[in-house]
Amino acid sequence: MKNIQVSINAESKEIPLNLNIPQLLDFLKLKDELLVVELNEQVVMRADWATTTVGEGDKLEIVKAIGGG
Amino acid sequence: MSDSLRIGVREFQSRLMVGTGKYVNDQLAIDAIRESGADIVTMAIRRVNLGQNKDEGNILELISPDEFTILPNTAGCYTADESVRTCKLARELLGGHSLVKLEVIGDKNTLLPDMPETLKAAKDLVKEGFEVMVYCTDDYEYAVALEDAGCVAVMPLAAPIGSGRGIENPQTIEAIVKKIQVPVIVDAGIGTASDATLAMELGCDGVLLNTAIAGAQNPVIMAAAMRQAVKAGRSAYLAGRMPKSDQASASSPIEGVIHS
Repeated sequence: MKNIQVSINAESKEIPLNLNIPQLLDFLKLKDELLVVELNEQVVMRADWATTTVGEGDKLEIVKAIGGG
Repeated sequence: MSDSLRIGVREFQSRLMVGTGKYVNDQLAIDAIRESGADIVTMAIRRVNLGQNKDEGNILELISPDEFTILPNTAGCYTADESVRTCKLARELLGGHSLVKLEVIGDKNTLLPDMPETLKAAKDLVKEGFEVMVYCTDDYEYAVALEDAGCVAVMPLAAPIGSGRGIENPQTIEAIVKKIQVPVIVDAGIGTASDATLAMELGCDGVLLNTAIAGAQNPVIMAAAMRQAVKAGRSAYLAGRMPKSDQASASSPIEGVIHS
């Protein structure tokens, strides 16, 4: 299967082609609750996760809440 | 007597807001935060760890939006654009929740705010529909500009973040309180209970702190102290203190004293 290069949280990663967001999180072994995903500096609404596919060279940020002041 | 705090369209019973950072462990954090009586609890937004330790807990499971009003911050942001991106991520994370704490830092050592960028970010966020509680210096003109920009609360520092030095410029805080119509909340630099009381006695509408509790020898006891300190300071402010005098004035009547 063809793989593509993407940037996730500023790390270069090789992932399978045509993953949508839930499949990407599954590939990364991340539980999908309480996370939010940004694709090329645009927040991906959760309602759009299933229809959003990651492509070659995309820049993703996957973030969560942590303790802070 | 009801003395709730109104921020934008929201109403809160507690005038103490607390952070969730720097606790030794999660249990201590939740115990201290509950003891503080705070309604509003701040959190930061950070990248998930893609490497090891994927089973690390999520703070939103422990400190739930069902129990507290979560106030996501933009800590660590150095530009208006970074802070706007962070707020958009937080809004999606919290299901459309638009109350945010804006902070744009100017320098990694002092952690003092970059006020021109903060004002720019505030304007951008208000335009995007956020309710902005803004961390700022105790600069009077910027406080006025931030209120004019549509921020729902203006939050001048007492002293640098995490310094615990208490209110360094009480006169400027008081001047801001007198001028600004939206809530003024002292944010950062509080060290101990008397600092929080002083902020409230100056007429501030609330106090936001983190390290003063998390960094205390016993955070749970300090959380209780802060809860009481904020209430005491607020009551003293509402009561109206006696005037100061250069002269002594006896509390007991002069007449009828026995003399030899």
